[in-house]
Amino acid sequence: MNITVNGLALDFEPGQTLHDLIISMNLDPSVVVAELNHDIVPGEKFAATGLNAGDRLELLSFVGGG
Amino acid sequence: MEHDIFEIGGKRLSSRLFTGTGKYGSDSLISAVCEASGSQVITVALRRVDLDKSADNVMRHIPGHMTLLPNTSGARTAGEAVRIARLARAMGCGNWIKIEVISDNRYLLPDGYETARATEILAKEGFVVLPYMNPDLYVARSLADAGAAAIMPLGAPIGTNRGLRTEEMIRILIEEMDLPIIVDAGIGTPSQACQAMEMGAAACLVNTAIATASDPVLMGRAFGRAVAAGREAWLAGPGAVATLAQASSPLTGFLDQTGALS
Repeated sequence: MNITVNGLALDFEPGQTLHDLIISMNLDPSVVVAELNHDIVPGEKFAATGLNAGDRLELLSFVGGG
Repeated sequence: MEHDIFEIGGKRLSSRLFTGTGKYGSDSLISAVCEASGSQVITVALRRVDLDKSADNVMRHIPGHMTLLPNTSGARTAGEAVRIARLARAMGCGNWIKIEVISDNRYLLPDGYETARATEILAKEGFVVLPYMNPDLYVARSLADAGAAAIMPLGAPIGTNRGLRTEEMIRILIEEMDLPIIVDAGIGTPSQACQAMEMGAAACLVNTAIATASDPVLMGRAFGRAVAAGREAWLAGPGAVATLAQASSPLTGFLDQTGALS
């Protein structure tokens, strides 16, 4: 199924949770914040959040800034 | 100076130098800069994760005792700033936020109206809001009314190292506003930070001048000392300025002035 992650259309196996997806992308869930279809998903809900085809996901993290 | 504490957002700070994490040649310097400068508050930005490469995470280099001040850089409207602030808080690193709403890409000047709107919304949501602003008295008042915890006027455009170009306007804010004034942007040298503190600023935020120095750790230490010195000078109360010379030594008890060299 297709999910748009940070503006890129990517193909994922159905049935994955948000946590699974983050791990599969080699990201550390503890330093990532997620916005799924414009709703913020707190880190503690990554594993309980299912994904559906057509979802729009933003994954963000802190970077250097002033 | 041990008892000169800067209280803001429920924190008690003994250092009045805020630092940033942008522009370092290597992020591994950040931890040493924090230690050398004594800074206790540090800014970060929030960005999309780069999916193509596993980048180093800046958080790894920020000592645990630092208060994190995420900014809303990238926001062009109040709505975008609010969205970024909520995401930053969801990271679980506190509720401080530096509002930056900028749609001018040449001078990166902040939009006062959008900044005030974002400040009002986020202050009501319990954020400790520190808005980056032009040093304008009316904008400052609207930010105070909106619930800002402090205001952060620019000394010069971001990243320019040009110093306190807005000195006179910042002086007016210090005089007229009850909120702490944290001079942000443009400070290029420790003497300029010291000058801002001598004027009565509550704190200075310095990123570029430290991060782009040849030796950022040494420059961080210099800024920490300059900010502390300027603060002490403000507390000490500078003496009066005069036009004509005012002798520092007694004007009595001189030697006989009729004698000539022999």
